[in-house]
Amino acid sequence: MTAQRRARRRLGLGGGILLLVVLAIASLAIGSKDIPFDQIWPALLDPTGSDTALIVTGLRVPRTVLGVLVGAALGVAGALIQAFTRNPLADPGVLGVNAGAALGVSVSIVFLGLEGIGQLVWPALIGAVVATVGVYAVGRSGRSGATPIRMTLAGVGIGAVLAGITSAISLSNPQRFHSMLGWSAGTLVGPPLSTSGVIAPLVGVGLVVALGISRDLNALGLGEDLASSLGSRVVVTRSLAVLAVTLLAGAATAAAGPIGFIGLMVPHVARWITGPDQRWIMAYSVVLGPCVLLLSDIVGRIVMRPAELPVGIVTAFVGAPILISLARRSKASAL
Amino acid sequence: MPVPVTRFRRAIIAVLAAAFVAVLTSCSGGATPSASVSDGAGSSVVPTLYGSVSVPAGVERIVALSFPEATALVDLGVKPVGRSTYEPDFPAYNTAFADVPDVTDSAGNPDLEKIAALKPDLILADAFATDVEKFRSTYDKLTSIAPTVVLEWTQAAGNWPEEAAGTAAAIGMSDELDALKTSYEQKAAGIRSTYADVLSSHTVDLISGDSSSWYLYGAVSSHGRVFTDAGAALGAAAGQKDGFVEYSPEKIDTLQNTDMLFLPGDSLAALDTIPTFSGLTAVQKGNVFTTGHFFPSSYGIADALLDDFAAALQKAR
Repeated sequence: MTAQRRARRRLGLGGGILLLVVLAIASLAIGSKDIPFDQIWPALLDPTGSDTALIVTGLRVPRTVLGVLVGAALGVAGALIQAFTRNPLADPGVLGVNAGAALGVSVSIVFLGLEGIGQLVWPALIGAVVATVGVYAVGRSGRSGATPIRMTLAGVGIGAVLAGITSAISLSNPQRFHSMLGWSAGTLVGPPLSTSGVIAPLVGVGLVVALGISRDLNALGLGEDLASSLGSRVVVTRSLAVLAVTLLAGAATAAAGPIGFIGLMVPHVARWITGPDQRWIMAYSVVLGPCVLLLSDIVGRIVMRPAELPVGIVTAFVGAPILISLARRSKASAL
Repeated sequence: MPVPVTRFRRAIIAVLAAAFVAVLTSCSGGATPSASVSDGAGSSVVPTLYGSVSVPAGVERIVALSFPEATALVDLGVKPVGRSTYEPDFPAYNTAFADVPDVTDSAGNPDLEKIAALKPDLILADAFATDVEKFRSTYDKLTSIAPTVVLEWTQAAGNWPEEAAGTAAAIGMSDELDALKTSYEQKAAGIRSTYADVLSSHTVDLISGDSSSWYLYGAVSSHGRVFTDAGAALGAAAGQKDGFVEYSPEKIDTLQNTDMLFLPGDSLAALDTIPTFSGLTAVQKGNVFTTGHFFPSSYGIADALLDDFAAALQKAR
């Protein structure tokens, strides 16, 4: 790799971080309620509890922090799953994470009587973990072990079963689910700041694991035999990849609901900028995931005033055209 | 399953967080075993979304594919032989529908085989007027089973009294429904006179929602009609033409000057997590009231809602 290319990547990453800072500030400044920009900073520090201060600190700060965490988690989880399965169309849902989280939420609402996102984060996370462990157990059975294709098939199959159970539960108890419609669509509104505190350690561990195995994923991209001959631990790498995806996508889905396209789109954008080096793809995904999610959330706040559009719907609207555009670039999706 | 399902889904969206929680009040009509509901004097001709429909006198086996029609039947003392998946959670209706088969599939679409097996002599349903052509094929299949009366459904169930009237007309019990209506109107008039002082000094708003969005209901919503019948002056929703309007949590201060707030019980905890909710005038004055009859679709539930309103006015006095 040339020094010029390295410098360009670092410059691009720096630009991405700068963009993230700008979007985070915009996320604090823009909302359904018009608050003059020069009142944002005083509102952050205002101890008097004015409405302006409460909106900024009680609504916009929590959703901004959650957006950064969830965006980074989904972006990196998408990069991991695409590298792991060597499938450019894979997203974290392929391992049944979203379906498991949704089932955890449904069971908790109907059979345990839990309500509100604060109570449902842990059941969602447990559901995501159980689903992924189940997919992994099914995928690794047999002689060939947990190959990407077996994991993908197991994930799609088990995910479909879990989604069917969730649908049956929710259809039989429609009234109980009205309060979870926002979560079902994917939203950053509602969860308090403490929710970010719950998922932050999980996302942190997931990111560390993902960055730690990124070099091995590069080797895996050359093929399993070649990766082994280069000294890469194929089985360990796969297992750690599944663990990281579970932590990242499980935590993100538990807190914000199933938000699509981030995990699919962000790695493509990162790959388009950086090329196929997983280390750079991971690093860019950490930054670009929150950028896309925060931008989508800001758009969702202003397009339907006085209401808001859930960010999960906005990412679908924004993500689909971008993905189609990228797909038309021949180099964009090369793994 | 076109007709009822769409109505049902839109109803759920329309009232997003409206709760149908059972309470101890009773409705104005009790369920009775299936029986003749017409005196046999002749057919009734009922205006429907698909034109005038002739319903023979003496119908005994009625399938109600929509809950406003099903609950209106029970209010009139008639028990349908088939019903939709969803019915309001209300003691009298829970009892009446306990052994009535659900004739919709898991998605809420009418199960034509189940309906045909019940050998109904009348099928009742509702739909948005704009969906008439979309569901004509389903309507045609239903009419091949029995005369089918499809009444209009409007946003936020705002025309439930008209649906009740159409139901009564279809089975020749308009006089009985008029008695229910008169009783309801007398109770509303009683509230207007008894609590005139509170009503003249307090504005009222009806809301539901959760921590991610909330809804403000207007005078043309199902419950807005009931409250305004009883003399309520809407606050933030005054002049609102739509049955409901969705708001961001950041806009909860839209309710800042409203004196009394009514909402379904399960909305309060979620709305209370919005940081600025506690600063609202109604919250500060202790005038936030929850009700299990937030979304009336019949005279039975509307009657219970009037009782809840009267109790709240007494407390606010």
